[in-house]
Amino acid sequence: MLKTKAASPVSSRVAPRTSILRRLSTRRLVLAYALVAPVVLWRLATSIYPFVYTAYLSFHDNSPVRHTFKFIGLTNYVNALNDPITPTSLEFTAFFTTVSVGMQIVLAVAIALLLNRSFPLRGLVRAVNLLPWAMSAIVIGTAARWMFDVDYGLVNDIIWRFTGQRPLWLVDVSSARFAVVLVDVWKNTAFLGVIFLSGLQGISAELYEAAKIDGADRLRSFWYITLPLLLPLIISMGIFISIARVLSFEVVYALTGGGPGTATALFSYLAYLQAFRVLNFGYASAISMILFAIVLFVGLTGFFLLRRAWAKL
Amino acid sequence: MKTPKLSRRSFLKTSALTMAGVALASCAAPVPPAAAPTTAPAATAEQKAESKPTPTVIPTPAGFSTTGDKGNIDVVYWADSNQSFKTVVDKFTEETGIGVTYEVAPAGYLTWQQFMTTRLASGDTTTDAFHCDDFQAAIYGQAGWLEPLEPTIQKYSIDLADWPQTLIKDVSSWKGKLYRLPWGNDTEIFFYRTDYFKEAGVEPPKTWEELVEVAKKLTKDDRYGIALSGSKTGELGNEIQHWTNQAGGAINRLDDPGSKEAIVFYKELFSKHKVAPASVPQEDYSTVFQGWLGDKYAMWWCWDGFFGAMRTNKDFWKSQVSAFLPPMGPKNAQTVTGCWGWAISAYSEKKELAEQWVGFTARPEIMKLQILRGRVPARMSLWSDPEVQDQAPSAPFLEALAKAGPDSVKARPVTPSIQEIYDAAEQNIHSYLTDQVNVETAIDNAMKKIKPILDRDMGS
Repeated sequence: MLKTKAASPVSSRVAPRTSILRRLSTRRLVLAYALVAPVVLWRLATSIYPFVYTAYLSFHDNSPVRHTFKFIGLTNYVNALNDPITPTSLEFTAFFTTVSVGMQIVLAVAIALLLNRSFPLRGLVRAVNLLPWAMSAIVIGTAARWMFDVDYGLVNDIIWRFTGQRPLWLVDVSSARFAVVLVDVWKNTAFLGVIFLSGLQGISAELYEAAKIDGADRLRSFWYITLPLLLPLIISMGIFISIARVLSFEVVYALTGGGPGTATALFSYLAYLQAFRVLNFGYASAISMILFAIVLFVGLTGFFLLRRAWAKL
Repeated sequence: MKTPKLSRRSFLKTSALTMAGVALASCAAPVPPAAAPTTAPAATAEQKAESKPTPTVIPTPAGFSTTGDKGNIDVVYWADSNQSFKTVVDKFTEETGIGVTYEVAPAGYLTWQQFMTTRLASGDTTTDAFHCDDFQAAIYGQAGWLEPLEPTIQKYSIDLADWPQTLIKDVSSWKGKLYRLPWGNDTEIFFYRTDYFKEAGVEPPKTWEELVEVAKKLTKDDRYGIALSGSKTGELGNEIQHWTNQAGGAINRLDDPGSKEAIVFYKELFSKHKVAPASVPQEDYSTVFQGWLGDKYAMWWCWDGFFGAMRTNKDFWKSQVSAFLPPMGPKNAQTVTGCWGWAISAYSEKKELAEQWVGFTARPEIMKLQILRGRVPARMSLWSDPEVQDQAPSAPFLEALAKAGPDSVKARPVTPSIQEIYDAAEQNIHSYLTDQVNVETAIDNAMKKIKPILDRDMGS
């Protein structure tokens, strides 16, 4: 069996950086910090400040319509967690993230493997593959709403030609949820496929040649070479797209509006509704902070898995 | 095994192909825009009704501007028929010397609402006057984002007695202050296909029971007796309001026995009587309008503005579409009314010029120009004008409603929290319509949200 060991990219970079800092004179060090300071300050202003202010707002009843800015402690959090929509919304957010990310990873690996092979017009196919990703999520969601329309929808037209049936995609809970996942997977898999393709191209051909000499077939080569070496990339991208799924709401906004009922109301969509539809900034901030906790959990879990994957390599 | 490397050359080649692909994708046919969900439709050009139902692509007009020597104002107006609007703008600039930059508002109601909310909440000074709906007048008025219009009314001697008073007092004012001046009326009337009625040998129904019977007779093959828009993007809220109101309830009083009766009746129209399609919970105004143009429906209780849009295609619609006043419900025969009006942003730096705009567009002859696309003007004195009746075919029906007395129409219960109330009602009633919960649970869950809102805002 083949084994590979990759050097930790972190450990190899720390030592030289420390010695460079030691060698610098105080004057140059001040200059270096001064040069970096504007960017850091800008980043603090655009990232840390909004975060801290959102956290602060979440403890207030703040509505520009009602002219309120009153400290109410944890009331927004209590209300958010007691809202009858919250369990359904969290359940669908978990379902959407898990199924969509799972499908995207499996399909993206398959796409990457296909696009990594040599065939005529490969460049064109690679470019066409990226088209769904290059389109706006709102445009795709709106177009999908028409595609799933009972009478005029392309999807139903195809189904009707074969079965004589016109399913009510956006009325039935299961099919509406499936439709949301399907549209999201269709839009985002292509990009993930290209990322995995770059990962595949970083795997040395010698490993496959050695495996072939050892008698490994394609499936074994994939299982023992491709997959382990691609795993850190799969996990890191998995974290990235999982967080994006938890925070995304565009497709739901344009396709189902969270319906039927609240069956496809992602938790992030609730934050949008409270912030921009009814202008309850305090309540929306509390939902956003809960979302942050979820994202933090997803991120830390992913980070833990990534470290384990690196350790195994 | 050979592993292909990504060379600079192949990278550039792929990038170029991707860009070409994206460029091609952007040249693809435009997605049909959603029609205005809260009230009447967005603009409709000449529409050919074909034998097969085909979505009609409604072109979005481009913005334009005129230049004047006395300054310039920025006006946000819905994607309406800009030919008639351009005439209004040209006349304004010619008469006052004030230029107008016409910004086309997003066609989708919710997108447009968010567009205006973001601007006003941030204190943006770009917008001077804008096209304002019932909800926005109360929400933005309460927020202090709109300029009270009483001084404008006085300055330009506008006689508000010529407007339906419910439009002035109930949906354009909040806490005694007038925040917009209506220019276009929108009242829900019952459209019907005269040819289908003749074919089935039926007359416009007078009660809910008759409505079901007539609708059953009109339903056949791919045609349904009645069109219902149950999509929870504002349309369902309007449907809940007009049906519950006739039964003595309201969207903010769903726990009223009348409300429950109306909601059950509404669902039974498509689930039990099958006189409306099973797809009702996903139908919005846009898809229903497409269905109407495609011969799918025989009746439709909706905003009268759609009438003008239908009749734009005179060849097809002549003598085939008419309207009747809504049948009697368990408690009354009222229908819902609303309007569109001009409001001035409190952040405008050119309020005086914006006031001139409001004063100018309130004049009867200018209002007539603005309604050329088919909407009935807000001034009642114009409803009997033959020219108006020709352009806005629902005008005679509104006149009949006015003659029936002020109780024949009722505005929606607009408060600054109306959007919250609509959302709560729609989410829960939609769950009932899609068989996720029973009617009691739906009403109970909705009122758990609505009651605290009412207590908070109205002290009720």
